[in-house]
Amino acid sequence: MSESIDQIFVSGKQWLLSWLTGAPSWVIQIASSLINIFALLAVFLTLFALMSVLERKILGRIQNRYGPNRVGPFGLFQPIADGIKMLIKEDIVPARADKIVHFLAPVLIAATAILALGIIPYGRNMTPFTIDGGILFFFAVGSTTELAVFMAGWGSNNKFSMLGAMRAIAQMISYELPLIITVLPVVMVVGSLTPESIVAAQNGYAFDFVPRWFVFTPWGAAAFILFFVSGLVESNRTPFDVPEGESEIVAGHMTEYSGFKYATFFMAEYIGMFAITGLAATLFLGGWHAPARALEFVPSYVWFFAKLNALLFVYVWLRGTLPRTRVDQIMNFAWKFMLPMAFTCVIAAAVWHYAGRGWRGWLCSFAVIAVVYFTLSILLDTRRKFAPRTYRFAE
Amino acid sequence: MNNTAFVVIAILTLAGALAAATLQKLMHAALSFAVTFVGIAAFFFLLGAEFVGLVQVFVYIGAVAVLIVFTILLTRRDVEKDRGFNWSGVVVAIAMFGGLIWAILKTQSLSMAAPEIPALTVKRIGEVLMTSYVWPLQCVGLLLTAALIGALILVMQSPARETRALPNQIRCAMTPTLQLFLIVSAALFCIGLLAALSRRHAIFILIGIEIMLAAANLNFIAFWRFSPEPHQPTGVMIAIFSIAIAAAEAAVGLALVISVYRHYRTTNVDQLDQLKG
Repeated sequence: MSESIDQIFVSGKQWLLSWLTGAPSWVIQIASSLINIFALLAVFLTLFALMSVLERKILGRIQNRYGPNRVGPFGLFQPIADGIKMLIKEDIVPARADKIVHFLAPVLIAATAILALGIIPYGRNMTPFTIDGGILFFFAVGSTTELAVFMAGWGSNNKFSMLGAMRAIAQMISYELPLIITVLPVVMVVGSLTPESIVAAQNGYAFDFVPRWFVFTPWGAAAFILFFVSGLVESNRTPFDVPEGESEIVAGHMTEYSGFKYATFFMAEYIGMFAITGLAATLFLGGWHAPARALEFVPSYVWFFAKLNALLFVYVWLRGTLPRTRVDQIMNFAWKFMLPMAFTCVIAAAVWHYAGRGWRGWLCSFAVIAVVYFTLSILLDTRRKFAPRTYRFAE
Repeated sequence: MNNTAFVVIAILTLAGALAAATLQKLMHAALSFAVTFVGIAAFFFLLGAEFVGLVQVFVYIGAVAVLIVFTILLTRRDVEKDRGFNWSGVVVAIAMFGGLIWAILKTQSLSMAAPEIPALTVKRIGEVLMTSYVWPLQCVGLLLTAALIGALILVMQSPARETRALPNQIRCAMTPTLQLFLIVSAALFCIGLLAALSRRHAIFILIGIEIMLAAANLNFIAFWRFSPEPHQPTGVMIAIFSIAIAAAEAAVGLALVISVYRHYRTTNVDQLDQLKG
């Protein structure tokens, strides 16, 4: 019974494809891809709509107010109202803008964000796009986002847009390094670049009750935190949203966009967020595996989306809690702390592997990470940095 | 199916390259350059070297293209001015293309179909990279570090990026012949040559050189795919190393462009004829 519920979407797709029996193989291939694409878009656009209203409601609760509650029950129809508003707004293109580039930027940014979703395993046998080297595909596609942001900044022919794009690209390039290097230990330990085999490697339970997720190893925990923070920066979320810091540069690279093009940027940001949290869940939180043996009857996709939503909640929580950082702080943090710590995770994973993957490996890799962490904090002089600030004013 | 894919990708790549070489606005040229590299990555996918294709997108779109647009930005004041176009470059490029096409069409052995080859697994490339190619790998690592430091010293802001080589697998059995791939690559090379010889803007010349390098990479992958003994992934390895080196070259080259621009306030290579700063 639970088996068939677990595979309900897979068998549903098979049923749809069974209508096409007898057709040439390329027709079936295209039909299968189209079903995957439609399913992916339907799920994630719904999640986007829900997320946009839930984020405002959670933020409201954090800030001691209600949040949207007028449209529909509990304000749940707010995204529909927002969508209609966005659609019927005037689409303004600045007179001196580079029209083609200005138009292509939101298209490209949304396309790349959606492409990245394709390689994530959403449940047992539920990967929309299986490719050897799927992790690399994710990052290859993700790195295209930078170009799209740049196109938005340049095409708008506005200094706020340009500065915002510069900031965005600078921080995205800086944090792409720790983002990718924190994936390396997982790839090293599993010995594969395919998300399915990474999920498969996290199957089972240590001592019969702790799941063998990588987040429960010292290197995995450190890498997960680093990955999460880098993901926060990559998706331009608070506290790292300087590219669109409204008090400084209006809305960054999105300043000159209005109406549906702006909505596309907004959507791309959320989809990018889903992709990066989905990858984090796949790499470190065991993907679609259940957290306990007694709970394995719950379908795999439910677990995946539970983990995804838990991580998304942390994103919103951080947004409601932390103030915006400065540009130089973000850069310093990336190059002086994140990058050395990311390399340390690689070494710690190697130590863990060669010390036998047991409790001894656990302790050894913990020691490696702790030593580097404390050395770094002494070297970077964090005690002085976090002291009350002194202000210098421009002459 | 594969023939259609080949034609579509070839048109995309060559149109992108031609636009990159001839468009007036530097920013449009840089974006067409990105399109060209997506096309070349698609060729790599078609040839079964998925891994190299992904590395290509990663390095060229994620790093080199972004570097180029950054450099355009930092040398912005010089961008909008009209530049000379050296027509002799067109002549050289067309002559070169004619010669290459003649050579390719004359060689009978090139019009062969791709042999069925076993999958080049993920582990295989990793193993080869860490055993037979460990010294080249170290050298490339050293080179990239040197390029990083060099670019840092040149402009005191670092653009170099390193890509680690990891694996891939063969899937498609394909129909276009080696000859077709060589023709596309020859055309690409000549377009790169055209850009490098005719344009007077330093960044255009760099774009031209990158396109020429990519054409060479396409050849390496094509020859690897069509070789009767495909068990040695030499062509794939050379392409991976050459992508890494091209990234280092772009970083240092663009750093040079920026530091030259800061000094002379121009990026026109014809005006940079002083030996004395």
